[in-house]
Amino acid sequence: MTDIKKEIDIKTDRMIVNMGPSHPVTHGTLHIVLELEGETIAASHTNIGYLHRGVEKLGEYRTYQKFIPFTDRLNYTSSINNNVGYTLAVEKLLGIQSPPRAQVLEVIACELGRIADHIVCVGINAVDIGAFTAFLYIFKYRELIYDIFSRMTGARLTTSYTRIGGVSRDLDDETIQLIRKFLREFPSAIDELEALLTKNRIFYDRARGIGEFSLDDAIQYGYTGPCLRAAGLEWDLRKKMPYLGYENYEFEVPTGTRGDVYDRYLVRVEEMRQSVHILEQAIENIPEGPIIIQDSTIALPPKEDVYNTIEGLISHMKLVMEGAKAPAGEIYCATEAANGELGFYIVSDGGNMPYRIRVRPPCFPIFSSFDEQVQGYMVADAVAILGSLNIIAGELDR
Amino acid sequence: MKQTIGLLTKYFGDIIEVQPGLRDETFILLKDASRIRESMELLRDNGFSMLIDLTAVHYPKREQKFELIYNMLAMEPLLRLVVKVPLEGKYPEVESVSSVFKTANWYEREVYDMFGVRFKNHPNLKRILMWEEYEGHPLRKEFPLEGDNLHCYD
Repeated sequence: MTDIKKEIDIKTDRMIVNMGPSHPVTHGTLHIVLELEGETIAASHTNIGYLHRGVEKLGEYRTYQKFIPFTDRLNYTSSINNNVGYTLAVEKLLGIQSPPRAQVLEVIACELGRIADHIVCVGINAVDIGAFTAFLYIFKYRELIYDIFSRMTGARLTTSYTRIGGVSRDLDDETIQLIRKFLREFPSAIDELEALLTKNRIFYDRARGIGEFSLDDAIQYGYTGPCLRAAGLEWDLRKKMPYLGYENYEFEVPTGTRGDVYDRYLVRVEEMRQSVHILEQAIENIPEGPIIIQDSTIALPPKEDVYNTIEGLISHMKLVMEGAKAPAGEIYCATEAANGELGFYIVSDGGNMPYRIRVRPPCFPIFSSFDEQVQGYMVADAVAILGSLNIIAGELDR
Repeated sequence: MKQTIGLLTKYFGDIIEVQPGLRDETFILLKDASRIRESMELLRDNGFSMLIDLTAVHYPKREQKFELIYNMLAMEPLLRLVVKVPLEGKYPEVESVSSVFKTANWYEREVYDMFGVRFKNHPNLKRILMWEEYEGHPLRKEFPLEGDNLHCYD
């Protein structure tokens, strides 16, 4: 009897496999320790924090304007969405609104950012599963978006596009032509991507039914964004709690049914189409007017005033040296970033710097479910699930 | 929202205080930290199905040095409610809500890591962003911005 028991013990011996901190599929630095029984995952332990830079601490020592570049480094694949989310929060704290033209420019920036983010997520998820061709086809368009960004903002990745009360630069005609060209070409690229992946037998087998997550679990874990929609709930802050005039645009919110890797892929692809649809409406209806509010205590005055009038010079200097003053109080402002709900909780004590600034990253709660989600799947499925959750270490660790 | 506040005052009475927000937020101050788990359960079963965020703020000058912030979301219809829980002491301890909301597991670890607030009955209360041997809690106000010198190279 005892001998048989011994043999069973040997068979169930678990193997420990380390994924990361530096591993091709982690796309950022995270560490996953997998306990394997054969090739099945019996347990998983995640370690994060390798990219922790103390963004929230740094924010407490800077004026509201000077925090904007830090938001670039949160979700670096769609940094422009973070810029918009942060400035909306500060605008809410100050009780102001950016002018209509700036709002439309921000919508254009946000949707381009969303497309770029989804391209990265879908493309890289496909690469991890083994479909390299689809990645090469779609990634060209991310490059085109970054070309547009570099014309719009002056930088490809670290955009820092928005300012409190507006945006930093106006959109010129050539950039508008670039965006129009992109909108003409991109839908056929999505078709190409879908032709390569959606009904691809290998991709389907690797993605369907993998990482299935029920809606109840998703809500328990605080899922937002594409991952929640893939689980079957039509939840999009752009529809439910419109900001930046999203209520004026016509678009649909795609949902999935099973919440697996395949549904997440389908939701993201459909969202790219919807973003194109929003962009088509936005680009044709850019109102005339200023791009930043005309209040020299919040936004920098125009350069002509700074160089030619003493008032302009003084208000420029005061704003740079002291920053904008915010009323005392606490606010929470959430936007629909590419990954889900990106929120900023700001506690102000009435000074020119936040008393406490909290970034609510969409990845953090989503990734906390990873350990539970991969249990019982194969090692290769863990790779697929990780890719479909779109974990960006920059915003995970802050 | 009125319904929820009515429900909370019915169950908790005096220890609930509604605070007006600066903009459109509703803040609820829960003065007794030992009943946080109960109130979260009540809120979860009455529409506020998601815990969007859980964080803390350090007020070294106040008598109650820490304030936990539970950011709740109701989905149908969309409502947001912020429950604030003031805590006393240098290293306060409070009941974990990770059995009510699974997402609280990591959030509580983060609050423990950054502020040194401990959570009772937490399944895995370890540091999450800093490494495990680290001493100190970076988001406390007395922690210097440039970091302590314990972990610097000469």
